[in-house]
Amino acid sequence: MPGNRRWLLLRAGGVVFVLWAAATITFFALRLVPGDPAEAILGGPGSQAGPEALEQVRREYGLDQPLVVQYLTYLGRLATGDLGQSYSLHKPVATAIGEQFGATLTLALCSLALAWVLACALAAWSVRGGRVAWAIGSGLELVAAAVPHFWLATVLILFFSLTLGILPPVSVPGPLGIVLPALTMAIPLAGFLGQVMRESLLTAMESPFVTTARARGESEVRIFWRHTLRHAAIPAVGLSGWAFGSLISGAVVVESVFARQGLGRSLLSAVQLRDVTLVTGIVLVVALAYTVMTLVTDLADRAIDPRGRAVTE
Amino acid sequence: MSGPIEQMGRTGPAGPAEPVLSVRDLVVAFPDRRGTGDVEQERRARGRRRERRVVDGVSFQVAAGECVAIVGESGSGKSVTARSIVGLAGEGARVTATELTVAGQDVLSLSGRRLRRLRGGTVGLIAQDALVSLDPLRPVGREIGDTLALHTDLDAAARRTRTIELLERVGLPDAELRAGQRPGQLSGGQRQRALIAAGIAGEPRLVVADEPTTALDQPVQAGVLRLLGQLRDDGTGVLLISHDLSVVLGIADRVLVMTDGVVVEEGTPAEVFERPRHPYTRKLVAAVPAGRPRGTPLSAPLAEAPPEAAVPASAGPASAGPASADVLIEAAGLARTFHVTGREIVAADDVSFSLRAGRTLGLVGESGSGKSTTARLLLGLERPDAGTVTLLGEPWIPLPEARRRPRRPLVGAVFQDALSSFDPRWTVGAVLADALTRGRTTRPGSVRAEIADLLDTVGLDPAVATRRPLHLSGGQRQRVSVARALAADPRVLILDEPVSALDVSVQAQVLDLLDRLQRERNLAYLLITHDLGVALHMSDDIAVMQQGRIVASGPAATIFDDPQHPYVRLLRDASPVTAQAGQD
Repeated sequence: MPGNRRWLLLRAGGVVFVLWAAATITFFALRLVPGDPAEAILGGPGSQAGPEALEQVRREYGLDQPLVVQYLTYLGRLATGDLGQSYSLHKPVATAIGEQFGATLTLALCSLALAWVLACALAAWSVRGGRVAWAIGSGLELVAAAVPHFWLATVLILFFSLTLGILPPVSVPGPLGIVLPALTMAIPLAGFLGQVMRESLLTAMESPFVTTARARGESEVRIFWRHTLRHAAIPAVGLSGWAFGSLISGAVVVESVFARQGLGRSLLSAVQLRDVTLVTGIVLVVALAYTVMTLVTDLADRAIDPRGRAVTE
Repeated sequence: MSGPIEQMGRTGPAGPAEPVLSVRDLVVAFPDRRGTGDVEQERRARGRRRERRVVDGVSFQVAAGECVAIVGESGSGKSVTARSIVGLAGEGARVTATELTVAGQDVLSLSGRRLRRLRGGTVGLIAQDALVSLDPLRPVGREIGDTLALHTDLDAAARRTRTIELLERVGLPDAELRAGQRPGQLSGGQRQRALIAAGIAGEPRLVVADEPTTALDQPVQAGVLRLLGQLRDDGTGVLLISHDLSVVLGIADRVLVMTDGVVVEEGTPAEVFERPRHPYTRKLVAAVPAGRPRGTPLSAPLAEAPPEAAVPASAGPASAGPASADVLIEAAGLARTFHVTGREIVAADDVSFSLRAGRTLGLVGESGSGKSTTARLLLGLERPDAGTVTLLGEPWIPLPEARRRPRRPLVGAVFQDALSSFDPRWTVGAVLADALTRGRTTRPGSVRAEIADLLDTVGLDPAVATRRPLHLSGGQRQRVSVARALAADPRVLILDEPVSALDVSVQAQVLDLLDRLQRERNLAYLLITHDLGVALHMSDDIAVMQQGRIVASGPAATIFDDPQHPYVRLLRDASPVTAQAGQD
């Protein structure tokens, strides 16, 4: 289908544009922060580095060049996949990110999946359960969507780790360690997704095609799985691309609270240490992950709702 | 409202066969408050809560190989009656009956799995408008396959084969291709056939068709009705629900007329149409515009038809005097082609006609034939590729909008969906004030008298001015849009399917209103409709459109007498109105 290929090409172009924009904005934003980057490389203002040492660092990292030259050199490196050297970790940024990325990706995907399960269950229950369930459902969603991560994490730790003692308060290797961090991020997201799903689920359940399905003898369970869930999923799938981005930023807080390794925590320490190359690298990788995820949700949306762009007029 | 049926006397089952469906004293009531959805709770609470009886003591039978039609307007309870048969009356409905049996099974005592086996297996329900009655996200073949999976032992491969067979049986060409397409990719007639295929896939003994032809063009409608006739001839019992008397004319063995939840008349189509006994039936039959001469009021019962109060008896047929025949609009060679995803759609091609004061030109044709595009071109809402329109002898189209605007009040328009043509947050008074002042801001209340006048002209109470369109009935809304069109005192009205969304008795009132206004104000009408009955009743001249071209035109009285163009012949034969008129 030529229409599909053109659409994909356009979207790929969009991904490149977003990455370039992210790279440019981070580059200049970090240059605008007051303070001498060379000094930061040598350990911050407290290090009392000599002028020779500073000069050497500036030459080494190209900081003595005009800004435009620095920018173009930086873009040229990025184009070849070289994210530079992290001066706080003393290793290539690509390597540092590679070590952390898996953990954050796992956490984000687990949270997303968990949020979907929670949202579907809550929406299905509150739509079918009458007026009281509807009120409870929408109330729960509102509260869940409004709860901040750091507070929720604390509450969950208090309850599951200290009171019940069934889950570890800090992240340990293995599947048990991911439960609380994933739950912390999944609950607010489930609130958002649930709100959207409940409305569209109700609309779908009142559609004439559901009457047709009932009239041919389908059970309510099959109608939910075969018809209404799919209609309800359309807006929630669209929202999931945005949700993934918010999960990565949520990881900054959650990984710190649970002392879990990952990109979020690396980003936090890189910012504190003014490790410009590492910050830039992480921002770029997150931007890439975000745009790829948006592309995936768009593809999923077209698979679920094939009417998409085929509509004439 | 109960009882008339006893006086009517029953004609008795027509066929000798055992009834597939037997309904006695069916009562369906809904709680007056909006239901909570909890059926059990509703049931426990009944008696303590006020109820609304939507169906009130309905009795009838359908035998194998028989077609029984229930005719009624919206709110008559006909659809609820149909749905009660498969236990789908609606949320919170309380259904009782002395007898409600399908093929010997007592529907009211069935529950769960056995009720689901009845649905689709013993009774096939075919709903209105397949675009929404089939899941828009799934291929139609899958829906048919689902019915097969539920009610047959066929394996996946056999189901696929059977699906194709069913689609071929309902007369869908390229069945294999169509099975893989979604409702949105099929035409209206094609998807209605697919819906019927899904309804009969479980080889039901009774088919309940709820408005199966509404929203279909007449030739397509005729095809769907033939298909239902075939099912009946094959021994299936058919219960046909329709608001349109003319639809059931050719197919039903017996007709039940319902209003306010009660069957007020029952008999063969001939009995009901030619000798209606109940006043409501008389009103309903009188409201059918088909075959009624121009100028006959439709909204008064046949027997005691008084001339409508507002019409001066001396007015005579509008087409009479030559004095009223001056040309107001002259369209010449209008053309418009749309380019949609690489395809060319010719919506108008060399369309020429003229509109005269006091006369109506009826523009008929199936959907997609370019009728509405022609209206939009005439209103200057769409730019033509070629052609001109002159208004009162001066150029109108093509012209820059700024130069057209001062003369816009001369041309008014009424559209099919009145509700969506209003701003829902505006009151009727605000809508009319806006039209009266042409959008200028004026002191509130400065045009109050004019608004009351306008509402009075279209037969509405002045108090309607404070209400919002959402809270008006369909007929009231359409009257308000007529009032809005009249506000600027136009000479020409473009009426694009003005009564298509209305019940037949309301349609009659609106048509009578339009007819009266035309006489009083010597208006020129362009009446766009897919309903030949409406067109013939309202028009002096008729133009038939097909694929953007006017393929025939002439006086309404004679155009269908001896049509030369094959499409006009098809149109005539498909419409129960003209097909019958041709035989007279």
